[in-house]
Amino acid sequence: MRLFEAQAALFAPRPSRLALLGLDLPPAVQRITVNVWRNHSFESVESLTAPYFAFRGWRADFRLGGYDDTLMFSGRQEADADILWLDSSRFFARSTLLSDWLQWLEERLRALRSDSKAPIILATWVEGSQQAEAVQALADSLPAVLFANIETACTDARVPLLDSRSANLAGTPISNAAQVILARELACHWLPGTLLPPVKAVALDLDHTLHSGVLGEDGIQGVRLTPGHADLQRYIKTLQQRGIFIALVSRNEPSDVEALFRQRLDYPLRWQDFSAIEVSWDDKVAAIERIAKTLRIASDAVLFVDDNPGELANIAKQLPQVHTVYAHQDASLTRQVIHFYPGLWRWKVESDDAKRIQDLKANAERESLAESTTDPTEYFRSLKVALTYRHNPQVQLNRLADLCNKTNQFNLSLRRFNQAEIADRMEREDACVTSVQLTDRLSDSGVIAVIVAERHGQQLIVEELCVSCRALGRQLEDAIILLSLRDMPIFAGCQEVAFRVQHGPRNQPAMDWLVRLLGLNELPAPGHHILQAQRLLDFATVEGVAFNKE
Amino acid sequence: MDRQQLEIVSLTVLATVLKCEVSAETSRKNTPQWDSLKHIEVVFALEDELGLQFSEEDMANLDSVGNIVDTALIRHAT
Repeated sequence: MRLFEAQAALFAPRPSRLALLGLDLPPAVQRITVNVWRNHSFESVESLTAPYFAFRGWRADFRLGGYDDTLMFSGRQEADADILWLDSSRFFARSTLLSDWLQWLEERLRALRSDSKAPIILATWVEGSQQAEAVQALADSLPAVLFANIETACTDARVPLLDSRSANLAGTPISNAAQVILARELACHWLPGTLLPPVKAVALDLDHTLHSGVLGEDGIQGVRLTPGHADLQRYIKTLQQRGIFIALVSRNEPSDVEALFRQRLDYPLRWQDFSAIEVSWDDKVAAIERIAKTLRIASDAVLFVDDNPGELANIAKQLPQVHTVYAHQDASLTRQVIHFYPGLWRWKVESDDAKRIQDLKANAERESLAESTTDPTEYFRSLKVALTYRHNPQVQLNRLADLCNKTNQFNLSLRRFNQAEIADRMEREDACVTSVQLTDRLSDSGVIAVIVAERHGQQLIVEELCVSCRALGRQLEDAIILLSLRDMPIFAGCQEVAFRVQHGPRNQPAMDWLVRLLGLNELPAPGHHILQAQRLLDFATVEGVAFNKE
Repeated sequence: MDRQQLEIVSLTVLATVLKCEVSAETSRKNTPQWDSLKHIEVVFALEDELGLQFSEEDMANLDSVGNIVDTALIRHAT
């Protein structure tokens, strides 16, 4: 309950420093360490991040370097992330040209990158959108370097970025109001967007959440769409464009709810916007579990929003992995809480993210076709299934890192490689990174698999193997994995393939696949499991599926 | 706000930011927790709660409950 009560203070449009520092939230269950390399003060922002981290059960230990305009990174220790907290005006005050500064910054970022594979957040500001685009381009050119544009964050929050009055005393020109906003961005967007598995679905209650009133009592025309609720619904709709599923979980008569969405044309959300709908008088715990199953995601990727603290407490008790948000009477506050919920915001929205929702809809048709067809070849032909393999595709770096970090079920070794680690293996002669894209006539599922392997003598060691749940259940796992490995340039001359295995809470589907492949009688133990290379050479391609190599 | 109200707000801010017991006699000299890093947080929190902006000179001089109240009274009056 303390977390729900804290939402109003944490997610106010302009949070009060005193209110934030006065919050008493439950102790953290997860700790992260972050190196901060800076040329201006970070301390008064750091103290404000603590309640935001605590809201998500985190605690961040910041290791602050001394003020250093030269960014020497001296005494660096391993950390979950590195932040470059830079007052760019200190460089430009010396008449430094933007191009010169960017060149120097690139050299420093490369120096840090060579020492660490941890993600790097470049938090600074420059003048105008053209300069910001140049900094963004620099960040995009380097693996796992992310540009946190401090000015944009302040503009969006409508607070002044700078305040010369307090600059000397504070050791930073960043204003009081901006510091609060940046603390929230850091703890709710920037670091979770880098380090946390993403929230993939938002499951919403209806009454007093998406509108004001109770449908069963007030009737279809009696429930009120306040400006705040309309804004919340519009915001929820935008989540779809980012590939986040929307689900409805309501205790109501199903026919009443369907009629509501049919008749209330003023509702921005439409019935067909929901990828999963659970309207009944049943237990919401079971409903959330069914939603996760329908969406083919783990329940810890679901954010549940409800105005009833009892429902939220029940979910938190029985499904503690599910994320919960209290829906306020003021729906604009609910919108803020969802917007800032750690793990929902991502640095980039890939085209493959947006395909997820359409792909799920196509699954119903695929399943229906599978039930009516007994011949797999005919099934694949009728769907025009095609797999496209790409070795070391630099342009897909972001998507491949996403797959490594988002895939929980078919993930054999759970290495969770980030962009820098994948980029490193793309460049090495003794390693290979292969992506697989899946398309059929119903939809383009996008890149659905990443396989990272290294050559050690006569052995090909599979260090990372992730297949998206979008591709599971289509009997294509062998073709996706074995053909990828066989086609890798570093496979030539290998005698054995060793699959690295690590057990996780949800990677049973990957274990089951390996059990079948190797003919094991029990789950593979953590470690390496050998397959003779001849098995790959003997593997027959699947009839009816088109195989492309780019 | 009168002097008494300003003192209550000041004590609340100091207790919350410094996370220690405070009184009307609290000052930077007698409170080790009130270091230079915490001082700016105290100043910013006071500005938020009192709804005013201190000058650069004021900020450096807000080093005791008495000085905070005196300065805030002047700022409110101008």
